[in-house]
Amino acid sequence: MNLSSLEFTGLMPLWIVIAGALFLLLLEVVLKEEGREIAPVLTGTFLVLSLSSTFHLLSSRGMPGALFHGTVVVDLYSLTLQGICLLSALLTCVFSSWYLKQEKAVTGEYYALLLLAVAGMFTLVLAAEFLTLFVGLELMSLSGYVLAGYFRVKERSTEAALKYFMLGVFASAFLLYGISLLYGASGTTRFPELRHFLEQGNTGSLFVELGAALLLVGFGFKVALVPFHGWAPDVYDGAAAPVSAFLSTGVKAAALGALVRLFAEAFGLQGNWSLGFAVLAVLTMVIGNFGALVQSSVKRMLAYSSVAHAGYLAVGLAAASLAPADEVERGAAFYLLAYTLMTAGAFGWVAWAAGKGETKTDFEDYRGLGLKQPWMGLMMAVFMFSLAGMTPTAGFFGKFYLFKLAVEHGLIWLVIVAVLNSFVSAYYYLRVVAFLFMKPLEGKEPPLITSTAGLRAAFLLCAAGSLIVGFLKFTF
Amino acid sequence: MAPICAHLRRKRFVLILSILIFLPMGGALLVGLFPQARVSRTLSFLVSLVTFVFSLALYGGFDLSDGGFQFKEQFDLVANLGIHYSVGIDGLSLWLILLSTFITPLVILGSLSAIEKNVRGFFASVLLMEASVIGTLASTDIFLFYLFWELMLIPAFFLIGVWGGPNRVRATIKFVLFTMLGSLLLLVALIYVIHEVKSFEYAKLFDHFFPEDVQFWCFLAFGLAFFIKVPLFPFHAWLPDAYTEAPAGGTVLLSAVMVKLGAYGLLRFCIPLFPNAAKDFAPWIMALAVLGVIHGALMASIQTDFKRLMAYSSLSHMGLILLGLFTFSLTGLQGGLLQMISHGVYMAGLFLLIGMLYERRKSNEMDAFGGIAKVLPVLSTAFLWLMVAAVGIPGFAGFPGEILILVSAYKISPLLALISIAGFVLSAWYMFNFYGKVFLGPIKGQPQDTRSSRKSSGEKNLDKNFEGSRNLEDLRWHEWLAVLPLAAAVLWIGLTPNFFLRPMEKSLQLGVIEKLKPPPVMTDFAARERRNQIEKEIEKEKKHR
Repeated sequence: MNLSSLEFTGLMPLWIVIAGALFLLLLEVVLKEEGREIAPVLTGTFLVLSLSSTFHLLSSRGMPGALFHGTVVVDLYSLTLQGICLLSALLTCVFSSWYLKQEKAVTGEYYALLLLAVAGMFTLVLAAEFLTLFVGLELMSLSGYVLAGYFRVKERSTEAALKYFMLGVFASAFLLYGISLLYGASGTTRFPELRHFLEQGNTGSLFVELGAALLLVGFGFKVALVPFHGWAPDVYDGAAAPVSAFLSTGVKAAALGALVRLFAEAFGLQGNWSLGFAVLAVLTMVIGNFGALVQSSVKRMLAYSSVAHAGYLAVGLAAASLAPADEVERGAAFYLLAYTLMTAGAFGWVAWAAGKGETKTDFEDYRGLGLKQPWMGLMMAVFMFSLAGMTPTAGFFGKFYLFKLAVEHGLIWLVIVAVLNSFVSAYYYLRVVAFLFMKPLEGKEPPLITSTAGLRAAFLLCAAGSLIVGFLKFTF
Repeated sequence: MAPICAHLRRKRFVLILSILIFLPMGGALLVGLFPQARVSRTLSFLVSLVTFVFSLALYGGFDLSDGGFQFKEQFDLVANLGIHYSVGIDGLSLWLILLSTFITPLVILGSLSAIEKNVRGFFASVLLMEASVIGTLASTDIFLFYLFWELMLIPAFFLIGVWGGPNRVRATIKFVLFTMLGSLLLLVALIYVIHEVKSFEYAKLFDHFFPEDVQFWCFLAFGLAFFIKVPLFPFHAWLPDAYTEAPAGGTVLLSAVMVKLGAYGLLRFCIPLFPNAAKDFAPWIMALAVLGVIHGALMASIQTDFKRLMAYSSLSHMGLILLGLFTFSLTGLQGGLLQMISHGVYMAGLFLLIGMLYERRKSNEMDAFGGIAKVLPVLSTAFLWLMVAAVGIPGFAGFPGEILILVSAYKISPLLALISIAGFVLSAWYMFNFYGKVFLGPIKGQPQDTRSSRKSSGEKNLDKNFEGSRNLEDLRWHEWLAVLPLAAAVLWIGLTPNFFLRPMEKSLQLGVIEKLKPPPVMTDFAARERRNQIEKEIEKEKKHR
């Protein structure tokens, strides 16, 4: 076994994050209570370092490609997804430092867990082999469970964590079973070899089909595709808003990203998964959107909206068995980037506006807020427009790429269902804007909500990103 | 002036369209930065005025002998997909762009005193609206067109929802959802079309011949978006609410500028891209358009709220424009386009004046008014002036377009033409009736008058905001400035319609009518040849990239 230096430089972003996680864990023992303010700063530093290392790899001419004997693959797609995960973690870090201070909660291992989750996501999106994929998924999920229940004095948070954990391990079992079946049929855990095996005409075998179906169920739970979505609204609603931002963007993006890679590359054009994904997509969009439509709490609405957005991505997945892998991956990666910017921004905004103890999350609580604090209101409006897929926001471009993919491969009916869903979703997203700007509080002024420079910068990053990211020239 | 125009024509000042789009857009941002109301008022007016001045160069440099796109600009937007930022104008869009740059400063002038809350937001929205309207009209890349087309919704959403009347939120959400439904189906069809043609460029789409069934579905999908915007008769449910609830400035932008884009979309995309489907659908659309004329007129004649009356009357007039466009004859198309301009001008004036009345009396109820002419002679005269144009009296703006449309419609279907004439007689009737009630007669609100009306308990509520019409202030300087250009324009269009018709002619001929002629029979061989050629071109482009 000889490893070249490339194996280390190629995974530099991952090493940085792991080092950061371990360092923060140790630091927690040494530091006194008042010194703990440094934790978010350090976390942010590690994340930025990792991000710059990712960019360095992206801009270097040759991608490292398959490393560690083909267990991980560092290519454009995985690096892009790494960047998206880092973006989500960075935003979460900013929201959390503000949130923890406001709630006067112990910092403890919070940031170390955040970094560990990021390490898990990296492993997940880099994986080109089932066991690596599983290890990454578990590392990410386990950290996620703890983060969801981090505010253990709050009942909702504990409930969310328990639900998340139970269904999460359940899903992992499905996933493992599916992996074992596929291994039994093909004798390999590596994607290219599995693909080679399938290309020889072995798609019809029961083991393969059952294995793939179980994988789909497992991932379906992880990324909350209907009918495996039951936990998602409760968890995203129950967890602290910054954690929800993280779970619904970074964690979900990594899992979705891996799912896309798995089906686009390992299963690829072999076998017809299209209809299965199309059905899942329709169910997810419809249930997600109509669920969101009836909510009175903005946070819960966002939770359902996050379910619905997984459905739009599944529209792209439905084309995955028909389209070339790189096109699907490109569309998915862009969508996930757009989705991360707008959803993380929106959850972060709710964390800010909900006040101490997250008491104000209803539509009614935001009456006239945008008139009182126009810039903050405008930020949320941008997130909402982007989520609704209105031009010229990133949300529109993301949908455009996915829908284009689906139309080009003959799934026009699915796209029509998707745009009708988009139409329904516009109602509840615009309602938020209507409450912010068009329904003033009668008789009294809404209270001024203070914010920090970091928080404002994070919102500005999300909003500006949502506005311009569609126009940027992408290398991939 | 002449040497400047010649210079423009020779040099082709190519950045002019980008300036027209991004000046108001940047202006909107700038206005948003200053919280002081006075600053945002002045700044937005200046920006829109400068935009108008720049837009005059469009006419100055416009080459009448060229039916294609002029003032073209192009560079990559999303390079890996082949989406370009590419703009240009022809005879179809020239006047509509000038109309919007002309109306916007007047809207700002007219709203100076009417908007008291969240001032900067209002003026920023108006400028953003202007930018997106110009962008929509100038785009020659279908993706760019869609970007601007949808962007228009955002300022309109805020204009109605934040500064509107009591039911504003419902009205604005209804408006946005209606429009979005159309746009989203348009998006699907658009993706399909660009997938077929493998290009986003309008010129490529224009040259492409779509098979019959594709034409059918795409015409419906594209058409729905535009019909909702215009709106064609059964798709108009958003209109009365949106027009009534929006603040005067917002209503002007909606009725004078935004709905025109629906008709423009039909003219630019639906008819030339899917000519066979357009011909198949034309009788139905003409029938619906006439139904719209009648429906609008009938509904207008039973309203008690005169802003709503005006909304329905606007709907009725838009029906006539559609009737003209779908005659597919040069006169009908020219008449429709001309009517779009004049409708924009007189409706802008009427809605602005209604807004001024509302600002003074806080009511739009016809019963609350009477004898306004004695108190506000200038306002009333201006109103009469514009109304005369609206009902189509010769010499004023409504007449030439109307007559062109009716003549060309008569050639195709005398019945439809006669029915729409009846609609216009009706329109004259309810307009003058309304004028008589509100502006003439005894002044309501005089002491003896209120005493007598108090007897009926129903009018008590009315009396609360009923200090009487006697001590009202006539037009202020900025209102004068807002109305005067409109009144002048109404006369100008009415007296010299040829001035406006000439630039359209060539483009309509080349861009619309040519496409409607039966295509030369294309044999299988020729079709295959053409396809091969296109594929080769695409490959070449790919290699080039």
